[in-house]
Amino acid sequence: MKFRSSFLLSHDIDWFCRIDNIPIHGASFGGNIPVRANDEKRMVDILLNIYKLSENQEGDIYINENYLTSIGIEKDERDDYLSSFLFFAKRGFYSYDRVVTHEDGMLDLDKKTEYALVAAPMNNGIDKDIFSILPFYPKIDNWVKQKIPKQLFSIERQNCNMLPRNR
Amino acid sequence: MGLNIYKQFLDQKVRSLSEEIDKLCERRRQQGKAPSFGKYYHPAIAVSCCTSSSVGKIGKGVACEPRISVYHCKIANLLKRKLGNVIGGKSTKTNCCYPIGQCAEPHAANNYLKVINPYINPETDLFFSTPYRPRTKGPIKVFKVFPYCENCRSTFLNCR
Repeated sequence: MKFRSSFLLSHDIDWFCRIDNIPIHGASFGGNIPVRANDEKRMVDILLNIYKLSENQEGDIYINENYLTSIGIEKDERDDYLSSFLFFAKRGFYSYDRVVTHEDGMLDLDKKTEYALVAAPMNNGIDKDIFSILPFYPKIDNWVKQKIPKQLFSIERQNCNMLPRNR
Repeated sequence: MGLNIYKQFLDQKVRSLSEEIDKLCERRRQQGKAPSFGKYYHPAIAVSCCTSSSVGKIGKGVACEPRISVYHCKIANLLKRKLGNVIGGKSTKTNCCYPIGQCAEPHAANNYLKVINPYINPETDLFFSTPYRPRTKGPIKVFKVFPYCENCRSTFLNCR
């Protein structure tokens, strides 16, 4: 069953998919979500399964400092802002937040929906457990392709701030 | 200056509210059982409100699906008068994309009227906190300052 549109507009939905075998988490923040991810029961099943996964102990977490700076995250707000995205990144997901770029940025929800990478795992190997709970996306969703900036998938290991594992 | 004092107080309250909501969501997700699917997700926005005469007492509200049955008749009438349509419909007087009565602000005003004082004038008497995002337990971060939506600005005098 699909999420009701009024529910989408009023809630911060966690949706999941994979692109080129990269597990993606998106926080909708009252915006639209990909058509294929618009399945309430499936998304809840995936979400609850992710909560059963343990943290990946290997590798560091990439944090998109440029994005944090651009939206003006202060030092004292940083941990609170990142906590949800780090949760998913530590479980192998590239975690994206919906960007609100304009004061009336939600007037045309579909055209203006964009996502920015917030946190992602640095290790190359992706836990196979994740794919076992993301079986629903054999093909890339066009909507996701358009909304998620492609260049962010190749995270450069140089010049990026990493969050130490012991944090 | 006066408005800033309310804002600081209300922002503290809405921060606590956001933390409560986040904890509740986390607990439901960890336990894996909730009364309904919708309860696993954070509301997009949370807001608190108060009046100048009773600053210690606050109304709280989160964005949720607009249902006319939950609204105090004063709020329902105010929304209809200011926005030109019934709760759940699109405003005929603004270009706001949100359905009438969905935002956290009218829900907070409704909570204030129902729980604290039904005799206030919701249009002029209420002061609102900065809108907070329960997922991040902080104000909404965007490239420009996030304003209240057009519907809320048209409805509440102090929502600007």
